[in-house]
Amino acid sequence: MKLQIFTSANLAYAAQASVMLESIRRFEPSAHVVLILVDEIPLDGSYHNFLNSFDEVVTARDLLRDLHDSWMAPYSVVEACTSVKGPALEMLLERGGQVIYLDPDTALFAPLERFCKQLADCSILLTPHQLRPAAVDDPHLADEIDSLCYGVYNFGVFGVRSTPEGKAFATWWSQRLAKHSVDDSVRGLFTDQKWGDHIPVFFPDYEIHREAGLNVASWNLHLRPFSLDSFGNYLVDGSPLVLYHFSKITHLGQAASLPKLLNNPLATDIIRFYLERLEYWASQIQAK
Amino acid sequence: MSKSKQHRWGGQLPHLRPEFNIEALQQYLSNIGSTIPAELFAQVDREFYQEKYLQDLPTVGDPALYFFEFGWMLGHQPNQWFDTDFYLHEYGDVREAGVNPFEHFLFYGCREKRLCSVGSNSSLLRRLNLRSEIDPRNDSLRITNQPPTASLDQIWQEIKQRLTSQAGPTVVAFGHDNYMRQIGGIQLVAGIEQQKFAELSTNYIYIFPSHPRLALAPELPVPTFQAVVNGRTIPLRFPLSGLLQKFGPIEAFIIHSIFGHEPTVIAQEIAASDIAHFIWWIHDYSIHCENHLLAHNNSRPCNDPPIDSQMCHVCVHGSRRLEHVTRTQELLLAAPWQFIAPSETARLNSVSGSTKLPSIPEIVAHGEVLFDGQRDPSELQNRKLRIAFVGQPVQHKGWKVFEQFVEFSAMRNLEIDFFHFGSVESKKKSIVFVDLSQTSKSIGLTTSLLRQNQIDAVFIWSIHQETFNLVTYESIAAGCIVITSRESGNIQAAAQKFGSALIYRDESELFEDNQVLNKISQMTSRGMPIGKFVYTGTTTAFLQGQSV
Repeated sequence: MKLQIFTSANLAYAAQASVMLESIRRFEPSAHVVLILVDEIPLDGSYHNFLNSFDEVVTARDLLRDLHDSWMAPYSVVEACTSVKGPALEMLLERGGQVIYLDPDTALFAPLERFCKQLADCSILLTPHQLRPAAVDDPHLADEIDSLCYGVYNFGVFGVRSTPEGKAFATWWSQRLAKHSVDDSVRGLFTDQKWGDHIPVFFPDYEIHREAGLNVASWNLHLRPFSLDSFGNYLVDGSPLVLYHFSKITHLGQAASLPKLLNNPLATDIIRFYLERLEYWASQIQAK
Repeated sequence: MSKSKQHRWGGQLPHLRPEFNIEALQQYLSNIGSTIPAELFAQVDREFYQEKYLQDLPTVGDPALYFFEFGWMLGHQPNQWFDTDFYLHEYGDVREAGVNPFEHFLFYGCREKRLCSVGSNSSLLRRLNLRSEIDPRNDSLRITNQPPTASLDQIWQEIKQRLTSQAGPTVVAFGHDNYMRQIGGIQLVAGIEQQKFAELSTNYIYIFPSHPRLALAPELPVPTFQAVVNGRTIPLRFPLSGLLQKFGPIEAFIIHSIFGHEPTVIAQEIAASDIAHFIWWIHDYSIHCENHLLAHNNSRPCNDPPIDSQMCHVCVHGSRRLEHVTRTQELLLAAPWQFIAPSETARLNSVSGSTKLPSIPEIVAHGEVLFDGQRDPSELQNRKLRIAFVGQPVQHKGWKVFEQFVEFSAMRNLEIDFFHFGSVESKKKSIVFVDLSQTSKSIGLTTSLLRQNQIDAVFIWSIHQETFNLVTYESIAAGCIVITSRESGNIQAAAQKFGSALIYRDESELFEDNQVLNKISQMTSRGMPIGKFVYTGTTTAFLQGQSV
């Protein structure tokens, strides 16, 4: 069974999703890539090329069928996009094999070889926001606290295998997301992600992926120093760069990331490249 | 302004800098408290702020609130990366508006690509927002070729008329533009080379693309070229195929630059011609990458990584490199090339990376500094220190860093006068412009103008490893200190050799150095040697060396 990679986005994220897809085509060319579209397909033909670039596009309406309107009613765009990840995962796992979810604002810089290899030995593979603790007097302790608020594991990147436990997780998660994929930190909820904190207890056939070069992001950049090997490839805390999660890299997010980038200037290469590709795809999509 | 605010300030704003627009500021203050979103408070590094500014004010509750209400007007930094004073100094519109510069940056400045502090922060932002002069996304120069205006026979007749001696040896050189009209290092060297071959009664035919570009010419439409024969330009465009064979025996075929040329056609031409020496100058790294500077994202030396590396993948030049190297390789394999590097830096760089040359280059420096005197150490007693930038005000030659250095000096009230010697004025009021339109016919002009203007130090901050850099030698000949970075290749090597170097690891180290003025003054007080730069190199020196 082919590796299935899926993402969930609305059309406002078309440029990001295009960059992600471009990177998958380069580094995981045989993967079957599915877009869960939390939008209607435009009848005027706009976004035609964008939608056609995926191997498969499933709209949230097609996915949820009769439940769609009631499911979506209480949710914001972000909540809606994250909530459909559960039913989408259920659907894809029925086909067998490995399913990897990638947020639309991620991009591959190398094949997902080690990730897939580890997923072959478990049902659920998680990527934590933080891989190791910050020093107690480190101001970035705030990032650890954020993980307690928003979830220890980042659900912008995770993998599930089509095993009984993998499917059980998908069903459980999907049921929870039907009503509780909200951003309500007072109640201890944060969209689809905070639910993941239960996984180690509920679904013990899980593993944590500890490649520092995978799911590098603003929230862990302070503990993932970039360097270069002698072949001109980036190392992240000594591990090859595989996947960067470009969350919060524009506007305020970029400003907030600057202190971390100051201490990790090589990461700027990756962000600059992403901004360039984003600009390119935004112009391509606008031109249609 | 509300009554409560008047009470808080006691009717006066403490430590207010005079350049503030008071009315705008008061308007801002009247709204304070209701206009600051919580996310802005989160951008203040409370621990940093407390430690730096509030040690003597234990009653302050929230350092972030204090910053937004008072601190920014006192020039406080909200965190380690935002320099309030720098931002106000850099951006007059923000100063005029009287708004909190940090708030302005977060809401607008960041999106507008404004810099948030001097030194490495701005360097980071520049790297994030690269749009350099040599940005390969500018495709306009790539897609067209000029149509021919002369046939092969016509151009051959024109060339023949300009040959000084039908029986004398002929040298054919390829460059990227007309050295008679353009200014630059390669052009100067070509001009000198032509003169030196003329002294040896050798005909010098220089062929350059009629459509100059910093890339190989597309194969179609067929590119056309122009020629300079013994220093005289022929104003006709012609295709290259079949031309070289008409020259008869060629003593040397020289490549000064492959840009604008079509390697396949050249390979075919040289295969069909009678050529004694094949010479390829390493003036730059255009054999290794279309980015002839070998500068990653036009910002730092890349050291010729493998083409399939991640460095190339994320570089603005990466997507074109494979095609460029493949096409160039065809020409490299077409003849027994002898490579010449003008410096040890160029030689090392050309054989140490992933696309190394097939043989190690010989070193033939373009020239040498001959000293014949000494600067008067007392020159500095009655004036400010003088620092100059020489050449085109472009990023890869370090102009941006120079501008920042000027700002840095102004902010710290350093006693320095700044100059720019060039042919294009930068329009910076704080920098005195000196016209320097140099061609090979005005050798020594740079040195003499630097001396005339009593320049103490020259700022040569190339972002790539220079293979030679004439400005460095001319500056050293003028008795100037060379301020440069460790990554500048032969600039730092030459300056170190002559004891004229003030070398920094990077921009951050430069901007953190409070002793830069003293260092230059101390070096200058020794009485720097002065002299002149003399061209000794070019292909004639190489060929003469070979015959010996």
